[in-house]
Amino acid sequence: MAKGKEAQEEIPAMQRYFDNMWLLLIVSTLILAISYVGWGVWEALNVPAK
Amino acid sequence: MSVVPPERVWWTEKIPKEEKTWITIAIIWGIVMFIMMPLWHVVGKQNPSTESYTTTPAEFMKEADAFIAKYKVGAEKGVAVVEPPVGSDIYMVAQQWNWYPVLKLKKGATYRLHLSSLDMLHGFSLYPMSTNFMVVPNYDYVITITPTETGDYHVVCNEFCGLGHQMMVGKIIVE
Amino acid sequence: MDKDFRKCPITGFKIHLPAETLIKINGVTAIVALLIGGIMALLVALTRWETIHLLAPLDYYMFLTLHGWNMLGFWIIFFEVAILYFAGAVMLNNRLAAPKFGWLAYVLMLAGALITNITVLTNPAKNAIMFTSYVPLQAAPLYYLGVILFAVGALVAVLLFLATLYIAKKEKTYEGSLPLVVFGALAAAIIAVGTLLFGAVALAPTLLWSLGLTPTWDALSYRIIFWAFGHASQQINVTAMIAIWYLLAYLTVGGTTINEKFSRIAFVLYILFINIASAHHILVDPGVTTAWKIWNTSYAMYAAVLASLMHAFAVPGAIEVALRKKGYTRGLFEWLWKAPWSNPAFSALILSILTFGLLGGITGVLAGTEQLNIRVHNTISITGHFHGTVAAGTTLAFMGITYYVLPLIFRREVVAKTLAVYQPWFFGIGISMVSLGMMAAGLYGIPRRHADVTGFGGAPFAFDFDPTGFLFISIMGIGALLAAIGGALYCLIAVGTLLKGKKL
Repeated sequence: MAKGKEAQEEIPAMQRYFDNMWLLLIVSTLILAISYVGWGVWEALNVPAK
Repeated sequence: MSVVPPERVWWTEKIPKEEKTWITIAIIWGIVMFIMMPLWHVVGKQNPSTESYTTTPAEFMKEADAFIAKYKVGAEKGVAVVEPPVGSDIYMVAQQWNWYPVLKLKKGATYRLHLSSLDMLHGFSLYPMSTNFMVVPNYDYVITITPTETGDYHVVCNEFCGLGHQMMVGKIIVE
Repeated sequence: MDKDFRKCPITGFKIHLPAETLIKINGVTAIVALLIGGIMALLVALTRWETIHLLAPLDYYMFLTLHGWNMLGFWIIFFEVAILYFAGAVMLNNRLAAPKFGWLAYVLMLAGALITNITVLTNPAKNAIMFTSYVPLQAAPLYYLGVILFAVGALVAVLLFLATLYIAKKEKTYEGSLPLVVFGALAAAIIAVGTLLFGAVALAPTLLWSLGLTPTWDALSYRIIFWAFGHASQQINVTAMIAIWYLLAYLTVGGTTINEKFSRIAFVLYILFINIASAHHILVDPGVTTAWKIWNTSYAMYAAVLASLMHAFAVPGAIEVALRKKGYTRGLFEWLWKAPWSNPAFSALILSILTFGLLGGITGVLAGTEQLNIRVHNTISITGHFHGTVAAGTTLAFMGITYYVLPLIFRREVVAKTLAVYQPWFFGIGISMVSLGMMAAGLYGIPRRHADVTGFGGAPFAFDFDPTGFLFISIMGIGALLAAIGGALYCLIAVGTLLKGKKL
C-alpha cells in the first residue's frame, strides 16, 4: 500500500460523520424521539372531544 | 475484508454499476409503495378511518345505551338486536368479555360506526373479510362503513384483553 | 503479551480474557433462554393446532407471555450482548472497557429474566398479560420490575460496548474506520440505546401505576411509546443479524462486501430511519393522523427497506465473489452447488438470508402499509411475519455463528458433526412452515393470541372459521414439530460440545 501519497489524502467529511458514533447515536435517538414518539403522542393527546 | 479495518479512505471507492442498478430498482419500488398509501386515500374505498374523539367509558356507554333503547328490535341469545336508520351513527361497545349490541344493517347503506371500550384494549375483527381495527378505551373511533353483501357477520376480539378474551364474539347482520 | 490476553491461533485476534469470559456466560445464558422459550413454543403451538388444542386458556396465555419474553427478550438479547463484547473487544484486539460493568449488566439481566419468568409462572391470572403488557391490563409490580431490571442491564452492556469502542480508538488498537462487522454491531447498539430509553419511558410509569402511586395513563400513548421499545428492539435484532451475515460470509467462504461504502450507507440508513417504522403497529388505531402514519411507516421507513435490500444484495454477492475466486466459475451457479453446504454455519447463513428476506422482510413491508394492515392487524398473519424475521432469520444467523464460537471462544470441537449438518435444515424448514402456515391462516381471519378459535369458550355467537384456515394451522403445527427438533438439536449440540467436546 503506497503510504506516501495516500497518507496525504484528506478523509472525506461524510466518512468522518460515519465514523463518529456519538453523532450517529444522537441523530438516531432524536429522530425516533421526535418523528415517531413526540409527534405521535402529541397527536394522541390532542384528539378533540366530540 | 469485513473483519478488519477498511482502506484508509473508503468513501471515494466507486460503487459498481450492478449495485447502482439494484439501488435504483429498490428506490423506484420504495417510491411506488410510498405513493400508493396516500393515493389510495383518494381513489380507494378501504382506508383506516381518520375520525376519532376523546370520550370516557361512562360517556360512551350512555350514548350506546341510548342508541340501543331507541332502535332495539329484539334480542338474540340475551344480547339486544338493534336496527338503526340508514346513514345514522351506530354503536358497538367492547368490554370484558363481550360485544354489544347486535347490529342489523341494510346492504348498500352507509353508517358511522362508533367503537370504544369500557375497560381494556380490544380488537375489532370482522369475519370473514378480516377487517381489523383497534378499540381503545377513552377514544371513540368512528369508522364509516357500507355493507356490500347480505349475511351474518361475526366480530372476534383479537387484542388480548384478559382471561376471557377467547369468549368475545359479536354479531352483525346485513339484510 | 499482557497476561490478560491470549492470541487466537486461528484468527490471530488478541483476545481479552475477561471479555471472553463474559462472552461465554452471556452466550450460555442465551441458549438456556432459547431452550426454555422453545419448550414453551411447542406447548403454545400444540394449543393453536386445533387438532391437539393442548392447553386451557390460562396456561396458554401464561406460556405465550413467557414464550414472548424468553425469545424476543432473553435469548436474543443475551446473545446480542455476547456479540457486542466480541465485536468491541476481540475484533479490535482491544480490552473490554470495564469488565466489572459487564458483570453488573449480566447480573441485572439474569435477575430480570428470572423475576419475569417466576412472576408469570406463579401468578398467571394476574401477570400473564403478554409481552406487550398493554395498559390498562395491570400486572403485579414485581413483573414490571423484572422487565425493567433486564432492560437496565442490557443498557449497561450496550454502554459498556460504546465505552469499549471509545478506548479502542483512544488506545489505537486499530487504524482508520471500524471493520464492517464491528460497524454493524455499533449500528445495533445505537438502535438499542433508543430502544431501551423508550422502554424505560413506557414501563417506569406503568410500574408506579401498578404500585398505586400514579393514576392510570392513556392507553394509546402507552402503545405508541411501547412500540418505540417493542419494534425498535426487533431492529436491533435485524441489524445484529446482518452484522453476523457479513461475519459468517467471511468465516465460511472468505467473502467480504463488494463495496465498503455501499454496506456502510445501508447500516447508516438503518441507524437513522429503521426505528420510526414502529408506527406500523398503530396503523389501525384511533387518534393519530394519516400524515403521521404515512410519514413514519412509509416515506421514512422505505429508506430502511432500501438498506435491507442493499444488504440483501451485498451479502449473497460477497459469497458469490468469494466462491468464484476459489475457481467455481462454470456456468451461472457452479459456485452455489460447490458451496460448503456441509458446514452448518454456511447452511444456517443461507437459510437466514432466504427466510428473513422472502418470508419476514417482504411481508413486513406489505403488512406495514395502511390499507393492507386493515386485513392483517392482530391476525395470526402478523405472528407469521415476525416468525419469518426473528424466529427464522435472526435465530438462524445466531445458530450459524455458534458453530464458530464453540471452537474459537470455548475452544471445544463441535460434537455430533453429522447431526449438526442437518440441524439448520430441521429448524429452517420447520420455522418456515410455521411462518407460512400462520401467514395464510391469518388471511382467513384467524386471530393471534387466542386460546379457543373453535369453541370460543361457549360464547353465544360462537361460529366456525373457514376450514381452509385450519389446514394452514396444521401446516404450522407440523412445522413447529420440525422446528422443535431443530432447536433441540442446536441446544444439545451446543451443550454437548461444552461438556464433552474435545478441547482444542
